[in-house]
Amino acid sequence: MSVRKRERCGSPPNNGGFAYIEMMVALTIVSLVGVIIWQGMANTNTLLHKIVFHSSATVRLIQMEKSMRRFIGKVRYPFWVNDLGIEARDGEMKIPFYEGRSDTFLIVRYDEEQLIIGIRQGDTDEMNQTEYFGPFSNVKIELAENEDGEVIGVDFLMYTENRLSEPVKITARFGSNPFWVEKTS
Amino acid sequence: MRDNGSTTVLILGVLGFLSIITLSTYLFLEYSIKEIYRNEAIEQRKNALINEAEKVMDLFLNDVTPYADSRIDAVWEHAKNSEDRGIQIRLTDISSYYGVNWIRKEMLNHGNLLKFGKSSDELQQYRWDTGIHLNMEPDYLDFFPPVILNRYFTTYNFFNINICDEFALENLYFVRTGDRDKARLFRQKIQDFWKGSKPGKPRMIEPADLKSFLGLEYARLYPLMNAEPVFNVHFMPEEILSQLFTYEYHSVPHNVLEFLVGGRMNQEWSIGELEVIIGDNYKKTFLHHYIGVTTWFWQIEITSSNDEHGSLTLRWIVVRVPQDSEREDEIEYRLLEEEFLQ
Repeated sequence: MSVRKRERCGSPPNNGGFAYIEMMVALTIVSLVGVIIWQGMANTNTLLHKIVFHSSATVRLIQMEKSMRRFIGKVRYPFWVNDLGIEARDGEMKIPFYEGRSDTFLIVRYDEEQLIIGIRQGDTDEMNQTEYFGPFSNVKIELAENEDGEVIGVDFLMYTENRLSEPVKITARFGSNPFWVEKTS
Repeated sequence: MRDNGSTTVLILGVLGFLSIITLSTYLFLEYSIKEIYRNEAIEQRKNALINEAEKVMDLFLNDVTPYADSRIDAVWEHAKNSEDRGIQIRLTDISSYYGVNWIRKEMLNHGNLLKFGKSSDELQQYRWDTGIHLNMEPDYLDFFPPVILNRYFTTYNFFNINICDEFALENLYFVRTGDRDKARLFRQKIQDFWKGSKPGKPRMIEPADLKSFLGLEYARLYPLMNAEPVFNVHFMPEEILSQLFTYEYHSVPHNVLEFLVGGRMNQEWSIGELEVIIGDNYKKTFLHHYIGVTTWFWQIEITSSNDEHGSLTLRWIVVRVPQDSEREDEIEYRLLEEEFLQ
């Protein structure tokens, strides 16, 4: 028995239309994938930025710590000294006996989000070998003491930019300390 | 077909971009982590060196003959044995030399130590004008040839009131009290005291007399200014020993010098034995203020070698605190300087 193929009603099939739909679906998928990739890249970029920021901050801190320890370590108080002669005013700390010389001062200052360390000779205002560290939203500079209350160096408490992380404390010791300090009346 | 091709190129481009970012981030992080580990490793090595230095200090504190320091003390044996563990310990007595800040004019002239054309008066004036110096170089290079300066002098010793230049004592008094007028009066007091001396029979301030001589400023001056012998006979340079023995009023026979120099590598003498060896002049002259058996300032250098990070050296300068009669049994050292050298 022969079966007649039933003719389809309506307009004849359109192969070109199917290609368009196919293309639109493909484009939608590509767009979706693109959006997802874009979003992922944006997130990745933020994450990478954070990682790089923290890593570079850590490395900078390590390098800064080295530099500060080197500077403070060159403050060498002769063992016979009875007065440390450290002056702290206007956000600046002035420490004598840089490289063992009473007229050479190590200057430590926090100014415009920068921690500034340099050397000053005699009574001049000019600073040499100046180094800048930062930016920091705040830096506290204090004298470091040992368990007997003797001054042994300088404490730096540094708050990172926008206070994104915990403050970092660095204690840098003087290269040498007086034998003992007997307070003068 | 062209659309599919663009998609592939786009995806490849994105992947390439991501790969570059990931790789550079990875390299940066690897560098950061290495740097952090390197610092941790250095900190660990520093702590290990400090532990070694503390062991050395324990041996100093537990010396069976605490009032005499010599090469037969246990600490030297310990230093020698440490080499088997890959650690080098070097001990140096840095106080058994003339004090460049206080040496008296007559000793300078007797030893012929100054540069040609320089006089002891000029040195005295320079010290008076510029105060006490921590750095021998370049501060004293105008007065001494570098070889002489490094062989015979130091800035690390106490100021024995009997053998220091009186202007140097005035400077020290001023540094400790901040009072220039009192310092001047103190210098005059010392000069007046010395006026009572006769040739070969000097007037001297002994440890028991020091407190009354220094008076109210004793607490600020002692022990920096004291009456203890400055040099340790076991470690002081032979040339200085020879200069002291041949000085006009000391006149110690040459065979005594030979005996001391020959025996000190493997013998230790107490202060009483030294007095017997040198003879009567030891107590009668300034010799017993120059020469003793105790080292006051030690330099301790400890080096560890590491294949990966090279060698690291810890340098400590420690001072032994002189005891007054009230605390005679306490041996105490203080750390003056700490430095790491890489």
